[in-house]
Parts: sequence; C-alpha cells; structure tokens
Amino acid sequence: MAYLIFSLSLLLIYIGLAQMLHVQFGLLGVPNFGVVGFWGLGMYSVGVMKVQLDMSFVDSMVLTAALVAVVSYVLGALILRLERQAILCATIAFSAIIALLAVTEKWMTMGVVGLGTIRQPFRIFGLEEILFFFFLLVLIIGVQVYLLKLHKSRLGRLMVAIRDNEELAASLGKNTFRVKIIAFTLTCTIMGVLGGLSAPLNQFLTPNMIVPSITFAVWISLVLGGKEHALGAMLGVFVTFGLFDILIETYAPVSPQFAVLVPNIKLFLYGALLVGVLVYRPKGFLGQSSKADEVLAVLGHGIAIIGSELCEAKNAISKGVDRALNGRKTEDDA
Amino acid sequence: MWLIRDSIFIGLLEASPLILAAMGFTLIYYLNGFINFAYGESITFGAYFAVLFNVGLGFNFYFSIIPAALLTGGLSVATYLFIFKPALKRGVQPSEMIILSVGLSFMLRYGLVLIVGAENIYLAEPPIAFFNFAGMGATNLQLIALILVVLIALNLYWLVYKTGFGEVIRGLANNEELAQVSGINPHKVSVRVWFIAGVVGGLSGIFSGVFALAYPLMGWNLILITIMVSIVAGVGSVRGALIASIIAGILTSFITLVSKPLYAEVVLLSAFILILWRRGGRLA
Repeated sequence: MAYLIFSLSLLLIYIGLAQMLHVQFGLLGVPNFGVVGFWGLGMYSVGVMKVQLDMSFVDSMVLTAALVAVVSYVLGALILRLERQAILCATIAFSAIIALLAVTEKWMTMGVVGLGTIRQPFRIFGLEEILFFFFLLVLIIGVQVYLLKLHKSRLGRLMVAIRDNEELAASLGKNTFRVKIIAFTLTCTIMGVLGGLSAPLNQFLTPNMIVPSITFAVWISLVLGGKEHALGAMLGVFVTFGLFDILIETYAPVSPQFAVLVPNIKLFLYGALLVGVLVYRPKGFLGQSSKADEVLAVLGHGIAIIGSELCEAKNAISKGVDRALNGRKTEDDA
Repeated sequence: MWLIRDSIFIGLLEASPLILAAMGFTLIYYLNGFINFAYGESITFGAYFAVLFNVGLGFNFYFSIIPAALLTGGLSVATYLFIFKPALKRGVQPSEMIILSVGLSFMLRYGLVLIVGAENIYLAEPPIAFFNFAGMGATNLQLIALILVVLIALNLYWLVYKTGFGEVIRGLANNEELAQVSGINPHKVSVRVWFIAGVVGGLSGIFSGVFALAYPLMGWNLILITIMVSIVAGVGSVRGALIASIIAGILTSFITLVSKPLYAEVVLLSAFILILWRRGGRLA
C-alpha cells in the first residue's frame, strides 16, 4: 500500500512535467529536451537546503523556485531566439551539465554517495505519504484546470500562433520573445518545483536519478498522448508510466530472473512506440483539440494567408529598397 | 610548457573516436538536414560487432574490425530505409526528426541490452607494448588507432572534397531539385552516404577507449559531444568537424590535466550553449 502511494505520487509528478512540456512544446513550439535538468536542479536544491543547511521545507521550496526561475530565465534569454534544433541541443546540454555537477560538487551534493534523508513535510504520524499524495493531486488537478482554460484563452491562441508562424505573430504587433521567455521561465520553474516536491518523495538523492531517460519518458508520454491536446499529457503518462511502472512492475506476476529485464523492455518499447507514433500518427492518440478549435483554426488560417500576403509585399518592397540602395551587389547575390 | 605538450599529445590520442564520429555525423547532417541521435548507436553497435567477431567467432583482433565496420554500415542504411526515409517523405519537421532519432536510439540500445546484457564486454586484445618518446608514453594500440584514424580521416576528406561523389553529395545537400534535374539519383546517394557514415561510426566505436571494451551507453555518452562539435564546426563542413574535434580533444585533456575530467565536459557543454547564443540562431 505504501509503495502504491509512492508510485501514484510519482505518477502525478510525471503528469506535471508532461503538462509543462505540453505548454512549452505543444503550445509554444519550444522543444525543451532538458526536462530532467530543471527537475533535477529543483530536486537537488531542496535536498541540499534541507540536509546541508537544515532549512524548513517551505523555505527551501521558495528559494528553490527562485533559483530555478533565475537559471531558466538566463538560459531562455540565451537560447529562445535560436532555431528549434539549436534550442533542443542547448537544453539537452544544460541537463547534461546539471547531471555532471551533481557528481562533481561533492561538498554540496555528496556526489555518487548520495544525499539524504529528506523527510516528508507533513509531520503527522502514519499519514505523511497520504497527505503528500493528496497535496500533489490537488496541485496537478489545478494545473489541468488552468491548462483547459488556457487553450480557450487569448494567451493560448497567441502561443499557438507563435508556434505556427512566429514572424507572422510578430508582424501583428505581438512581442513574441517576451511571451516565449515568460512562459518558458514559468514552466521551467514549475518543473523545478515538481523536482523539489520529488525530493521528500525519493528521500535519498543520487546522481543516477537525473538521467536522460526521465526526459525521454516525459517526451514519449506527451507525444503519445497528443502534444497539442490539453489532456494529452495526462493520458500519455497513464499509458506509459501507469501501465509499465505501476501495473507491470508492481503487480504483474513476473519471475525474478525475468523481472530484471522489465526496465529494459520498457525503454525498448518506449523507443519503438515513439518511432511508430511519430511516423504514423504524428499528432498522438488524442490529436488536436475539439471541433470549435478546428473552426477557429480555419479562421486563423484565413487571417494567416492575408497576413502572409502582407508580409510578402513588405519583403518585396524592402528588397526593392535594398536593391536600389546597394545597386549591383544584391543582384550579384541573387 | 610540459602542460601544453602533454595535453596536445594526450588529446590527439584520446580524440580519435570523436574525430571519426564527428566526420560521419556531419555527412548525414549535411545531406538530410536533421540531427541524428541514433548515430550514437552506430558507435555502440560498431564496438559490439567487433566483440562478436573477435570474442564470439574467434577472429584475429585486427581482422574483426573490417566486418564489424561493414555490418554497422548496413545497420545505418537499414535505419535510413525503414525509419528516416519514410518519415522524411511524410514531411516530419526537423525538430521532430530529432525526437524520432532519440526514440530509435533508445529502441536500438535497449534492444541490444535485452540480447547481450548491460555489463561491460572486453575485447581479446593483442599483447600491449609500451613506447616512450621524449617523456611521453603511449601503447602500441593507441598509436595504431591514431594512425588508422589519420588514414580514415584523410580518406573521408578526399572523398568529400576531391571526388565526383563528394560533389554529388554537396549538390544534393544544397539544392535537391537542381541535383535531381541534372540526373543525380538522391536515393542511391543517400544510401551510400548513410553506409559510409555508419562504417565510420562503427570504427569510432571500435576505437573508443582504444580497443578495450564495449558497453551499451558508450554511443550515447559520445553523441552529445559529437553533435556539439559538428554544430560548432558548421553544418556540412567535414573539414570543420575534423578541426573542431581535434580542438575539443586537446581542450578536454588540458582541463583534465589541470582539474577533473568531468569539469572538461561541463566547460565544453557551457561553451557550446554560449557559442549557439553568439551565432544568433543559425546552426551553420
């Protein structure tokens, strides 16, 4: 029973991570492949503050959120103007840096020896885990309700516009970079907070917890469930983590010598599923959002066509001006 | 002074897998325009195929390199034909192609783990001799690896910059329609490029840790630095990949000598993010 509650709490953490990734990649089009970096930074930050500095849980959570916010803002300011492939590589490099620092900075993180023990924040004997689980549940449901609202809001539509055609959105007078960096900082901070909440859940932290497989598991959940659908993240995590880590690893009657293979089979199937989904059903199980959104999308498309005509006209004019100013040089280039 | 000399020497010895991987990776990146994380598995499988021929079938150590490299090339072509080509045809975006390649990478790696297990596997090495010149030591295997890498790198360089086939690759990468109009078959060229890249990746895996061992994560551990080096060098520049990987190798050994090996990676990765930022969005 205690183990089930632990698994379900972890499931909620994963749902939270996938929801944040949904905002980043599904809505905004920022491919953050360093999910484990932000999550791990938050987790280790709370761990260090609780164990080494003996701070209270609330204090350490607040400071952790501030720390992750600053880090993700700086990273976002560096990379969010880049093209998507570059963002992907930079974020994966960031998560690799965090994983390396967790090993090297022994004075702080205890390195590979491990950092512990981080106790549960609710100190009621026997009910600690259950209370923590319900706390997480309320949090995740709150985020989900907000996401459903976000999809129908002006901000949500602006994010989708930035994802589909950033230049066009900018030409309509939107400050796209500001939207991107605020959303990126906020979602990464929540990833960090989720990491902080995982610290008392895991109780004992080692660097091999912040491996790329976590990022990969979150991505596969989101892509499987449907990256553009508000409920995609939740469905995806139920299918991947819920099915494999909870149902099969805990309850399926597997013989011991076979049980060692289960995590490897799981990762193999994750990979195969991801390949299959991306090649044959790129929008995921749930596809896009509801009918009303499709109507809006058609309308938006019409506006986009008009907008792009305007853009082209503007480009043609500026090209003409350039040519007139630079004379032969531009013609040679062309 | 000894510090600079030693870091250049050690860097050159240690950089050989990186040099090969960066050059092979660059070829695919140049031709198809997406970052192929599954290339890391070419590295891993190269090493495992060498183990298969050397330990499993009892081949001579040096002779097992050749069939292992060819098999890796075949695997690379298979990934192109069955996964990447259909995906490119369906118009999957570059950023999603990367995710696809990560998925494929996990599939191949854990498929391998399911078959052979996750433990380190050692090659049956020939006897090791130790050479010493001017205060710097190297084993015979390290020197052989270095010579082979130099030969392979020169070959690749010649292939890309001096032959008709290299011209075809460059034509196809720059303007596919124009290349097709002038009678180039993109399918054939792609298959050949993926084969060459796979062979080079396999060799890189065999040379990693200089002929010593194979483990499932070796490709994943190398691919990040490989991608970094190739992007910093500029897309499609095999020449740049060669130079950048040598610099990365020397820098790594220098930082390792003055502090810890893991800090070298931290510095390289941070430098990578800053270089991307300075470039202002263009990968090339």
